[in-house]
Amino acid sequence: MALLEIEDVDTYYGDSRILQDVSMEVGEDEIVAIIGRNGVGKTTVMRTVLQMTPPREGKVRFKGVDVTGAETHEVAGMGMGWVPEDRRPFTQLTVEENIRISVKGGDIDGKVEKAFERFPLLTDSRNSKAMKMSGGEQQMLALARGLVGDNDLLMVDEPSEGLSPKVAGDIMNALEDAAEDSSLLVIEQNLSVAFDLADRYYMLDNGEVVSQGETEGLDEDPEELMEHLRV
Amino acid sequence: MIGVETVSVFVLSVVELFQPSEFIGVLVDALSKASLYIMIAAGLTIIFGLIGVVNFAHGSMTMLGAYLGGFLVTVVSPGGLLSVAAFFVAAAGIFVVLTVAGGAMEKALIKPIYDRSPIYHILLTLGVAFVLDELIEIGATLYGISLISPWRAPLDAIPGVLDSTYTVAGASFRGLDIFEIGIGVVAVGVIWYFINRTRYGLYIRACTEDSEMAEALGVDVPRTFTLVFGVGVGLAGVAGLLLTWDLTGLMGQGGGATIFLSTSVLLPAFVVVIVGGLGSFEGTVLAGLLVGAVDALTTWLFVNEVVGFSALPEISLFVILILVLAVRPRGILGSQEVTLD
Repeated sequence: MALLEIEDVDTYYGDSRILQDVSMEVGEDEIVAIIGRNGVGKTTVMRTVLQMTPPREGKVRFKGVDVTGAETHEVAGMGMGWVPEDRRPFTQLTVEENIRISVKGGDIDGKVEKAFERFPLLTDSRNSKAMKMSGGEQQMLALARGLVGDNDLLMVDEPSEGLSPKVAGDIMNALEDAAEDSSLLVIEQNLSVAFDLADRYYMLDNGEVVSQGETEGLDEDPEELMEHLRV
Repeated sequence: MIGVETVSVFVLSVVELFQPSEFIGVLVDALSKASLYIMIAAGLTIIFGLIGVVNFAHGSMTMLGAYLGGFLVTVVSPGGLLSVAAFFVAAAGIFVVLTVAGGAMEKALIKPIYDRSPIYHILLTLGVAFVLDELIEIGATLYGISLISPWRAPLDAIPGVLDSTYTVAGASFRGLDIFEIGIGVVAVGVIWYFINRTRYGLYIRACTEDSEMAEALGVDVPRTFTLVFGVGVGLAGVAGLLLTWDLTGLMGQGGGATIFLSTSVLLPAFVVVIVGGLGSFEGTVLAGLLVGAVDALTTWLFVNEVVGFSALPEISLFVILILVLAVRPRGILGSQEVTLD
């Protein structure tokens, strides 16, 4: 049984159908990438999984439980984390409060300290409001937020977007570390980065899965995929 | 010549105001009024800031607190100093009852229309306000309680220590004023601690900024909304109980439990919320202090016949509102402007 199963999902924004008959799976300890051009529905997959935009058709199962139509906090509480494309830190909260709010129980203080040990760059701004952080720091914070929740599945949307190569490299290293504790579903436009990181991929076009498979070897010859993506 | 005389009287009055006897009296009056403004507006601002609902039933909830609280105080008041203890029992009872009632209202009526246009929120809460006002009127009439003039029974239950007038450095003030200031200080401290030092407070601050992200991190946003709505209504109820004893009231409108209470507190509460900044509790405290000071000062000017019209406190309130909206539309400490989006 896969950790996450998305089965024949149709998702709409108003009258517009964004996802059409989409099916995906993420297994235990697996890193899966969703690739595709802008506007093909990649982010909507994550919103659908978390039931922020519930599907009109199809099912989403997490750990074997049908979560279709459940409240978002219930799905998140089952062990699912989300690092959105625009990071969305709580700018009026301090860095520590941003992390603290993401702990879902247990030894809250201990888990917060562990997060700072894992991301020492955040320590200096621990008591500063998140609005004062740079883009790279905000991405680091968003990742720390996703990891501190002891999530079995972490969904990360465009982790390297808008970051310098150095900072993007740090983020990717952090993601690889994160993969030791949880499965990852990652949206990444940079194909070589995506294929370096992921075990498998799904490619979306016009809201449909048009290609899927193992990533091994693809980074050497991604011409066919590049054609699909028109990049 | 009239202008010169008027200016002379005004200047002399200002000089008189800074005499310790007058200044302390106005200061105590300002702080006691500020306590009431803050308690009424605090619930409104956290509901507005977090949930985005303009609760037009807030004044009616305050009036409900006044009548239920007045009833409790009258029933349990043993007389003497113990009546002060009875007040706290009544306040705790009112807070619990109205918090539960507010939470139930949020779940049953408000939650289903969260996604609708704010006009639905306004119409629904206005409807609730009208129904509540009528029900209170029916209940009061059944028990033979006067609706037009302040309800006497709870006024008679005011303990002597609060009803007495004290003189310090030549300034006179009632014990009730000091009591209101004490309640206000405790209320501000407790609310501040709740918002800034508890896990639910953290949820509230996060949800005020981005409730969808908070929910994606596992925060039970629907429960947080229900709790905040309930606590906001509970606070309004306790403020209503205080107003039952306070005959001076707010903005020269007259106090005590009357059928006019719901409307007379609603507008000042909205002004305090907007002047302080939507969703900012600290802003509400500052705005409450400002409005309380202006209310006390303009009341003093009228009482001392410096100005001859009683509507000055009310006019001043709306002048403050107009100035803030013109100069700083997001209020003193608010991060967002007033919109109907």
